Amino acid sequence: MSDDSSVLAGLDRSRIALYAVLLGMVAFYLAPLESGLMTAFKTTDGFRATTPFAPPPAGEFTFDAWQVAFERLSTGLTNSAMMAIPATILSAFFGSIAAYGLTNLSWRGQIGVLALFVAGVFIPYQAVLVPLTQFWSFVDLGARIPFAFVDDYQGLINLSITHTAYGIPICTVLFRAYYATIDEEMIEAARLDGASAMTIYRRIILPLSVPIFAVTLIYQFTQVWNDLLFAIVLVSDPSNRVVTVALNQLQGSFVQQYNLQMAGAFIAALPTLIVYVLFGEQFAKGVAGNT
Amino acid sequence: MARLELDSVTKRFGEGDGSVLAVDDVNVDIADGEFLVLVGPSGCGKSTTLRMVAGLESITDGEIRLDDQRINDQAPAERDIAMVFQSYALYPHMTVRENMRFGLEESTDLPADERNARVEETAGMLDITELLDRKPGALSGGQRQRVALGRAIVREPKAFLMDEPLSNLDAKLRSQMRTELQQLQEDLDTTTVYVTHDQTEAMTMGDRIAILDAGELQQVATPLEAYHRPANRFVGSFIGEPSMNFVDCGVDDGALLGEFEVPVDGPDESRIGLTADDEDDRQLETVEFRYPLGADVRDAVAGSAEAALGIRPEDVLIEPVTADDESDAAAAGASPLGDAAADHVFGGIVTVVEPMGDENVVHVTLDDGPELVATVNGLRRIDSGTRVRVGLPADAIHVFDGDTGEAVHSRSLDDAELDERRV
Repeated sequence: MSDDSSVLAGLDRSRIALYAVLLGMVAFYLAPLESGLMTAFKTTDGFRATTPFAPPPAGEFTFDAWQVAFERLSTGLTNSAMMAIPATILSAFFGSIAAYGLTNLSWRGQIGVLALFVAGVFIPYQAVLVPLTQFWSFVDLGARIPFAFVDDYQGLINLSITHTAYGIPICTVLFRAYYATIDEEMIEAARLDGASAMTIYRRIILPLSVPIFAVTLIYQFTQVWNDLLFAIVLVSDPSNRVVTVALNQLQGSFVQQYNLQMAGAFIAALPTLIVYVLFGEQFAKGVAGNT
Repeated sequence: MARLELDSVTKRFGEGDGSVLAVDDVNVDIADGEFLVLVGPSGCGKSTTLRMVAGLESITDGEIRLDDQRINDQAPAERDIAMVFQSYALYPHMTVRENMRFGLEESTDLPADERNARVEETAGMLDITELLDRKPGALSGGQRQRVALGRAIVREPKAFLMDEPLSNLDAKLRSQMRTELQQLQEDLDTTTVYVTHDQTEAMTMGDRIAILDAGELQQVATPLEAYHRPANRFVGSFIGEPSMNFVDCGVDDGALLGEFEVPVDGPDESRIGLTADDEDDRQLETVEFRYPLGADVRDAVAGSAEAALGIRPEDVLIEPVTADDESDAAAAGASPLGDAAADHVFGGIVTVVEPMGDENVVHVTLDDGPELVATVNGLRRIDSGTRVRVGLPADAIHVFDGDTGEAVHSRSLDDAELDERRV
């Protein structure tokens, strides 16, 4: 009896220590977020008068910053969504097909092609900025394709295609790691059952890829959504401005409106959070390698 | 229904100097409806051979014909062959019904209701109807095995190929499925090629077995033929459990003569359980094992300088030496040694006894050197350390050429009916 209680007490002590450490870590990681959130709800006087993590003082609580930020970012949010959603889906899809061809089918020279894909992962954005701008000014989609839509959104289309192309190598590598674990005999069985390479992809590989699609979609969407460099360089038309550029412009030239910037940062980050929530469960499966 | 012929089939992996010869000039003619078992140790090329028939592996040289049609260049889908894989290879995201229907959807133009009817019928035959709407993840190993079989059967192909389909099952289920598979194959009467490394499966299931070693076909024969008339030493050692005994000898004046080094103080009880290291300290002397041959065998080995004597464990006769007949060893013609002639009887000592229930596996070391394995009736009581007389009857021995390993003489089968086809 006494043994039991001492064991319990020991357990309790270690539990308490564990929770204390965990709570400390939670506070450490959440402090910047909390400070940002608090600042976003303060008036200009409010954030000048208080420390960042303190709640808004009486009379200094306001939604104004959120409202202004949303108004100034709304075009950017729509533009980003129009650019990032197709880029994410396309690069994941192409990555999946490429990985299938490079992993589950066998043909001469595939190692060389795979090496090109892997090399593609490591090309730094900065290294291609100049050729990329030259490329798009040469291609000049708006002048070549006579649709008003293309002309209006030329910057976004260029950006979207660039992100798709840039995303394919890393998506291919992610998919390839997953497809390498797929039972080879199963694919051979499907071949004997009379399925063509494309049918095997459509009816066997694709349905089994849901978890890894979740991983790539989350990863790729976050990458594309958060990109600032390509967006600044490739998009000149202000009506095609994406949210990261718009957020950058919330920074005033004379007065730092921290409340506006914080609210804007939360609004700009919200879509990536939503994507995590939507695909979270599948993401966990994909990361755990659950087939 | 089809006749399947492998004509000088060769498979080479890689090119030039680094290439590996996996299958070397294999010729087998498999009759319509026959159950052929391809057996051999791992890496012998049996799976590669099967995969060439399936079309999953290209054929370097030679020809494979199905119903007299060359299929070398046909894609797997065009060959009308179904295969059962060791891992079962079921599609995990589809139900059993969808798994079985997949092949029908992809390779036939059957209308949907007919496809479903065929799936139901096959499922009924395999007793898996109640599993049809489950996914493979919810099935036991044995059930998955049945579904994999069902997926092959439902297509009604010209031939079945099975690649170690039972090796992932536990021992009891395996022997049960063995019987069931045989029954099924007999009912369907579809040409089947079955790959296994397990000689028990080969012996019990096949109409004929083809034994492969290092990519080369060693023998194609009925199981009993392969057992009693092995074409060479490899087949003799591979088929049968426990394995055939071999004694390497020279040929000397109508007898097989082997020289062995044994401890001076002879094999005795003190030796049992000692390791090779312990024996290093012992003084060795050379002894001779001499086995006189009958006239017919004498002619057969005339051309060989070296030969191996082979004898199945069940043919090695054992009789304990009791105190009162120690002096009277010449009376060896008596009961347990049967008709082994006196010069085919050797003194020895039992080193290990492995009781299996129905029989005892007895390891004996002869005074003249060779170590042999014998099986005796499970009810006979023999302890390790017992001195025994060991009879090696002349009509039970095999003789293999020392260089090539080819059989030059097989045991006599006066009392067997091997040439009749099994029913």
